[in-house]
Amino acid sequence: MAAPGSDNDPENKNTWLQFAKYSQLAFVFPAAIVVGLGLGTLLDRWLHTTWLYMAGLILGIIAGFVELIREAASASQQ
Amino acid sequence: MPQSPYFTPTDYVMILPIIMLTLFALGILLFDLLAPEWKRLNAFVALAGLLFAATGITGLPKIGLFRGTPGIYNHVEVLRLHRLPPQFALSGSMIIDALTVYFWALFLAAAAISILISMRYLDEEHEHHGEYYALILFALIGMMCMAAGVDIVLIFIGLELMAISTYILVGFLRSNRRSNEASLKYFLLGAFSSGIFAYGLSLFYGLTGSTNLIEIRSIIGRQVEVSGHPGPVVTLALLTTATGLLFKIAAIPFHQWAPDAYEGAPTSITAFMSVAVKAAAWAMLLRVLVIGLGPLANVWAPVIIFVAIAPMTGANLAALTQTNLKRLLAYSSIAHVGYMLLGLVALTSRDAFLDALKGILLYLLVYTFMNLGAFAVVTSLRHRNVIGDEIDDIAGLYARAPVEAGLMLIFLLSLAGIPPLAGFYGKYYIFLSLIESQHYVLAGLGVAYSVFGLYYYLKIANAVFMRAPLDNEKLPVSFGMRIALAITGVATLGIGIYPEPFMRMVSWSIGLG
Repeated sequence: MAAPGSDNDPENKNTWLQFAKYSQLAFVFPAAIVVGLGLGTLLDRWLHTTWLYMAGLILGIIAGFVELIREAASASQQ
Repeated sequence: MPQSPYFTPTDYVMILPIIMLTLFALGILLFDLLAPEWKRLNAFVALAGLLFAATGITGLPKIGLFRGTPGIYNHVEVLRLHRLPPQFALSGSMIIDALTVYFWALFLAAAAISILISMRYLDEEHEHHGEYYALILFALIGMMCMAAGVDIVLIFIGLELMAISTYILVGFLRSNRRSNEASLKYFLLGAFSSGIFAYGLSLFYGLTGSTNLIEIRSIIGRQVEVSGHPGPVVTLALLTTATGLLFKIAAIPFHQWAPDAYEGAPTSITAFMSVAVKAAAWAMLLRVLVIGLGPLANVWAPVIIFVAIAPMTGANLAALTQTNLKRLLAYSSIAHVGYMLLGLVALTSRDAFLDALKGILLYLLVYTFMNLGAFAVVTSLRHRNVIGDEIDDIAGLYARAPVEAGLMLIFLLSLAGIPPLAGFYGKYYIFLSLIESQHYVLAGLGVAYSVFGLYYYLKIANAVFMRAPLDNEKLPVSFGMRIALAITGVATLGIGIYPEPFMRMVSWSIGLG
């Protein structure tokens, strides 16, 4: 049987698992937004436009929310 | 005024903060529906939304939007030296000038602090739902439309969006009868005043054939110039419009809703209403009354003098006898409206115009931080079975939470206008503008009524430091609350000790920086 507090302790594992889930949620949302904004800005430079960054940002936020909801829903089910 | 019949990409850049807030508010609603176990995350998502909106705002001056077109201030003679000509958006119905940016930033700061103080409070009340944060963001969108609107239709839609969101927020404690009652009272009186306001605006539309404030200003201005007087219908339109505006800022005798709504609402929402909703109403009042209906200043100035003295007298006297903290702060908030209205009186004078405008804007800024700080401390008193809104509940706070007690003293002294705290500078510029415009009696009254304020603020301080606590348990203060108290405390002290950058910011907002 694993000693309490060790990495093999089931309770400790559970805490780490929860921490991983939370940090994944905290990461996925801004990441989607940054990717959307970055792609929009790159397209603006490439196509010499001035508004695609905004479209990228908005799409990034929408994608961020979709991912956030999916992750949170699946984390709740586990 | 260059106007496109269609929306251009520039329009979207200018309303980007509003788009951000809308997306985040809708996202929070969906997230709360589909992942209901993650209540606390909603607050962080809302804060992220505010951050994105703020990024959109800070981007506005940098991308050169203020270069180019002559704007609304060119109609106000005193401000002809405006260095940042504004830009119009959405077919000329919205103006993005420095004043808009100033108010938008103020709303975002107030909303962020309100969200920080809400998190543990909602847990205590067992009412942690995502729509709370979504409604705050929707109210913010309404406020932004009110501050940026130059078309009475947009202003009215913004006002209603803000008001409807706030009615729901006031009644958010569904199982609490006081909260429900407050919400209903606020809704009924709010709907009534909106009706009067809409009636006044419709009369202006009928008289001028335009819903644009700039056009209304020029047509009414010409009419007054030709006939020498505004005429009965214009006067009626002005009085009904002004009544609606004065109701929204809770000036006596249109204040009855405020103490009840403030007392019954969740404390975090009382904090939000007392600063953000009030600042939005002031933004709308400045746009409509000073800029849109400026040529009628001779008619509305005497009304404002009466309405300025009444809140100072009535609210200061009523506050003296209050034992409920939220009610006391509600009356104090009405008294502060009186001081700001004194600035509006001075605003009608050519000599004092700039100082009065600066005074009102600085007052709104300092009031936001010091009042939010005071309400944050009151919110933190909610614990287990203690509602925490009576003066008895704050008794002995020094023994239970010394840092919060010290900060409360700073907020209270600042609200009373004691130097070197932020509240002093708010009052100083208002009284200075009154002296410049030769309203010596009003300036004297303002100073005298400040002494009344000192009495009831020190009554709270007396309870905090001199009385024994009813409950000896240490007060649990959440991390969000600590951040909110730190921000408001630093701002209240900072503006008081080193007001220069904030004054520069205010000057910039009216186009002088």
